[in-house]
Amino acid sequence: MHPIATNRLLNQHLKKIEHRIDRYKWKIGIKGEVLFVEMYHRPTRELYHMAIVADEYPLVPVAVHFLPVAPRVGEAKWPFDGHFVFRTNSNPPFICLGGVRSFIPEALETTASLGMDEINIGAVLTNIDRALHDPRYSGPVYLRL
Amino acid sequence: MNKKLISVTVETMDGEEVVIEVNIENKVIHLMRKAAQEIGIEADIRLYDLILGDQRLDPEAKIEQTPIRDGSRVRLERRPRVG
Repeated sequence: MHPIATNRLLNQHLKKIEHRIDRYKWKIGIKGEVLFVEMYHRPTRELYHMAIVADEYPLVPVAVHFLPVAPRVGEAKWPFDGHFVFRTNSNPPFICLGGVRSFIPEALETTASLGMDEINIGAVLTNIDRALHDPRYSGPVYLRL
Repeated sequence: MNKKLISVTVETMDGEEVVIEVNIENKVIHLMRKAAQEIGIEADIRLYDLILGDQRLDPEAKIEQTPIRDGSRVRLERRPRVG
């Protein structure tokens, strides 16, 4: 898909969830096909930064990367949840969530069974936020870049 | 006017919205099913949660036992797949 068309589609899809973006105080900037997202773990105000690469969106799920948060610029700041969604024990670390490019389905499923309701950027952001607020979450972990 | 009927805005993960009129004596799952039908969700509703703010609502609870009020905005959220 042409980058301009992807960018336009992303903006359209984000506009549809602007209530949610405001309510949860996510900060989202788009540069071309990449979204830069700031998301808080609300009870502790712990801040996370992500780059979400949406080349080929929505034909291909987005790729999500956690980034450094100042002042620790040499290490990516990841949420730790006992390796449930955020697989920080892997090299490289990845997010194992339906709708995200790095998702590894259970043996009997295939990624072909993912629907637009999972791949949609609104769903992806909401699911990451949900994982960040899951009882398994216990704080940040810093991984060298 | 039936004071037990309230209007609830149900939004989906991708931002679609429907306004559902529901009796507060019904269970939460009744609201979920009505919204799913209106939106055109064909998957099993038991795969979904209904979220108000940061709270996941018990599908078996009566609406009047939850914080849902007339004009509330809730989210019908499919439980994500984790590999």
